[in-house]
Amino acid sequence: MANYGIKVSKPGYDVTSAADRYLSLSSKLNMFKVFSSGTSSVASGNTLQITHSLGYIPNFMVYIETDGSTNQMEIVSASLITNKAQAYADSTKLYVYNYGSSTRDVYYYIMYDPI
Amino acid sequence: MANYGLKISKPGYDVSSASDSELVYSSKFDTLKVFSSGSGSITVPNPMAEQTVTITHNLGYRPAFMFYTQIFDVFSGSVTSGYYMSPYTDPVGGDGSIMPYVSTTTLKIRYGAVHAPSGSVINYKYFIFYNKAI
Amino acid sequence: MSNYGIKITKDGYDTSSASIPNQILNSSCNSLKIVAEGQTTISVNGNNVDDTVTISHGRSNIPAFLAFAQLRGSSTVSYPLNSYDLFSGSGEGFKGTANSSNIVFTATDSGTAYTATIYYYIFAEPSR
Repeated sequence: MANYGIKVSKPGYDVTSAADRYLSLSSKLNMFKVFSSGTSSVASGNTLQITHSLGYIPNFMVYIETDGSTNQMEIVSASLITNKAQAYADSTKLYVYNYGSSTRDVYYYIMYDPI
Repeated sequence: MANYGLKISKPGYDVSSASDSELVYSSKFDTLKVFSSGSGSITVPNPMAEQTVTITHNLGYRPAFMFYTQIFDVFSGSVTSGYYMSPYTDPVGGDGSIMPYVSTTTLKIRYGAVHAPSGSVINYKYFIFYNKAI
Repeated sequence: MSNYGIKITKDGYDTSSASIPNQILNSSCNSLKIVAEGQTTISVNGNNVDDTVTISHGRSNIPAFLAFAQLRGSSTVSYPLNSYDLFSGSGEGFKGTANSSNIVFTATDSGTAYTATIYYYIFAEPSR
């Protein structure tokens, strides 16, 4: 059976022989596609809600300003200890909860790719 | 020296002059390439005890990954419908963390003994990339 | 108006009808582009003061980033950002922050010296 597709190798690698990990693009391998991204802010003790309305729970990445700092960003996981923030998504919204003491800027990515 | 490759600009940007951030894709840059993805769940036992989820990848090196999980919301007294990017750590203390870690063969996620009450069903989802973690 | 672009579907999907979640690439959708990656270490000297390593990113923005770290408890596993190794080490943790010039990774020091090994990715996309 014919094997059709497209692949692009990383610089320095022969595309005809490169293993999957040495490709920057392959029609065989999914990569995340950004649905929306943007900046906002969330006050102390509040939850920022960003509507995506995808109808499914999307993959996401959220960065938040370090509590008490300016122009210093960190990725948000469900780690109240390190981030003093949490981010989570359901089928309609992305939520960012600020457990810190100051209003903090947020940058978010919502992917087309479902969790 | 010739400079060969493939690049695609974002809508509205001239591909011949677009900066890196104005490109959708460029063969000059790697991307996070998904090796495998999936989902599962755990049921917290009675009595509560730590649990480890094991996902085999057998890539032979430690891959980058993303792991998303529901958590138990102590304020509502129920498992969240939303998913959180792990790890999860709780300032309240005790063994309530949800901590993923990866080896050359497996992605494991340790659910701490007291992260949720007995009987709670916690769903999770994961992405394992071809890209390495070390 | 004409609609130009490129799209690539996942195996088994028709490009003429596949929704974006069933595509690998769509020129109307940005992707996360890795502009730099590398390995570095943090020398944790065991004095109960957290230690850091600074990576100059050279970007004109504060970039998005990801990283993984090998901590003290095991030399065979890596943890993602914001982790605490609560069961094989003594609670060593790992976090990262980015500003307009640098990415700074921090490893917690619980009183025992060790070397934390970090692999990081810096994206063209911003984190602010």
